[in-house]
Amino acid sequence: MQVKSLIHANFITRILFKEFIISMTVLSIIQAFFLSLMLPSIAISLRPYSYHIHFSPSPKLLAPVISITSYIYGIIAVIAAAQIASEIERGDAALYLSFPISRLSYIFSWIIAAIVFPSVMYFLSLSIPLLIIEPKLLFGIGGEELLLIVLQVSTSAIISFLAAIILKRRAFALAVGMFEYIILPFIFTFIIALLSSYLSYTGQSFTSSNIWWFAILYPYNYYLFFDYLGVKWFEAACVNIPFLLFILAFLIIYTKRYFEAG
Amino acid sequence: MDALSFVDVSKKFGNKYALKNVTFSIPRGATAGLLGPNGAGKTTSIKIAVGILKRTSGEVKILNLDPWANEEEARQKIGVLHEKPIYPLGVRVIDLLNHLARLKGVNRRDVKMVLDLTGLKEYANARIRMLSRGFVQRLGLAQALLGDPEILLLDEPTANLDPIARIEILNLINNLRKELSLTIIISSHIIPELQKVCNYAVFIGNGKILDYGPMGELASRYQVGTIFKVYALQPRRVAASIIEEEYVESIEIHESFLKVRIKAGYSKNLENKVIESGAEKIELLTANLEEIYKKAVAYAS
Repeated sequence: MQVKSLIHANFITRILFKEFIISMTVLSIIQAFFLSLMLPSIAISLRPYSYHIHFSPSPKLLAPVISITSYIYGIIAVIAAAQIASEIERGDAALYLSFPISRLSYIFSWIIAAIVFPSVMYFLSLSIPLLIIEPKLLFGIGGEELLLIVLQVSTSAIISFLAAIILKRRAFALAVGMFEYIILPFIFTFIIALLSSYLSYTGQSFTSSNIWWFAILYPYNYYLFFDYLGVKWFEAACVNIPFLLFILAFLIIYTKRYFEAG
Repeated sequence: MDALSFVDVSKKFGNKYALKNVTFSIPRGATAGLLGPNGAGKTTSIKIAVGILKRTSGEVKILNLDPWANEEEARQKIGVLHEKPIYPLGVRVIDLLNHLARLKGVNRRDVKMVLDLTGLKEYANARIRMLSRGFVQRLGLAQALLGDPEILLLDEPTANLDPIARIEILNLINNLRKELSLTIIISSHIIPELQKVCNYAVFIGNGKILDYGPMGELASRYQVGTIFKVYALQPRRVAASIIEEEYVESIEIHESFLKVRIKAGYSKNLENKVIESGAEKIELLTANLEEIYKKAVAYAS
């Protein structure tokens, strides 16, 4: 199964996803450009909003750069995930599924092409410039922010993916994905603001335990926004990973039992 | 063993039945026509047979495999040309075929072979968007033939083609039928096209099977005239012996065989008579499919 998933993922990426590859390359160039602007005084870790100076007296805005590029990377992954719906809608899926590739392998090939490949590209686009600029900086990152970014984007992309294979309409899948990735965080933030006001009105203290649910869908944002409450990166990951595994399991079961490409 | 069998198969889309209690079988080696009007359930039947649609109830076997549960194994043995197939237009013909060949686990020699067989060799490096409709359909046949399939399922292979491309594709199917020993199942609503290539028919209408069977059997069931091919060393002598028979409508004499058209229900009489007169072999060439279909529809309604 895995071999055929890889073969087809490679085909999707190489031939069908030219625009997508171009977007990721442009994103990498933007990222490398911003990082190179920070030379020679780049000297911060990626810990959001708390720039620990390692070896320079003039910290630069590395974390916001990563926030912006990770946001774009997320949008690209959500759009790519929704793309499978147009393949089902148009009928290309029927062509590939008339060959000895299982429905599950076919779905996994799209997951690899739309989520795994972009994540690897994003990681490399960040780590290679950092390695060139200052290897210490890369080792200083520790990987936790990158892990949370990848988890958050994967969650959104898989939700978009699930919508695509259930609804079989690209526009609907894209609407679900974009709502989840762009609009819902604002709604959640608004709810958290209301909650915080209510708690302070009733004299209770506002702590991270009141808002842990935010990390189910948005572990990176949770870590980024509520760092001041002392939230730890692994708390965010521990809340998100079970949910991610749950929707992945749901995707597998749905595909095996009900997914039709006609 | 049957190449394809449907037993009491139903398929619902929402509250509407696309197929209702469909039962039919197609034996190995047959060239079968799945005949019915638009919306009869032909495409749904083919998609269920390939395992890309799930039946709501019933049992489907393709080469003794359940195409939904054993999808990879079943699809390894079949080749499919879908109705109005969609291909990635920016991809070169050769790249698409190489990729599909890899999915089927066959090598590039097989790709070359199907390019030769379908007359696409010169267009191997062309992008799919540059191909005419006729050549896109050839590409459809080429991909369906990859990996030596045991069954070829062709869904409306001549749909949306101009008359010349239509003739080319039909000739190509006829050649494939002669050259390769495989079961071919062709879904169509165009009777004269099926008449040219089929020796077995399945009639479908409104998601139900009206009748099915070998052409000869259907012809005698519905009392429709048939044409036989009679092989003989001295065709003229055999022709002279049967020309007076009242059931013989016409005789066409060729160098080593005769084409005899007879009235319905006299197959046995003809067979006995020509063997007596020294014929070597007699085989059913065809029966009037349109007539059989009309009678089957009338009988079912």
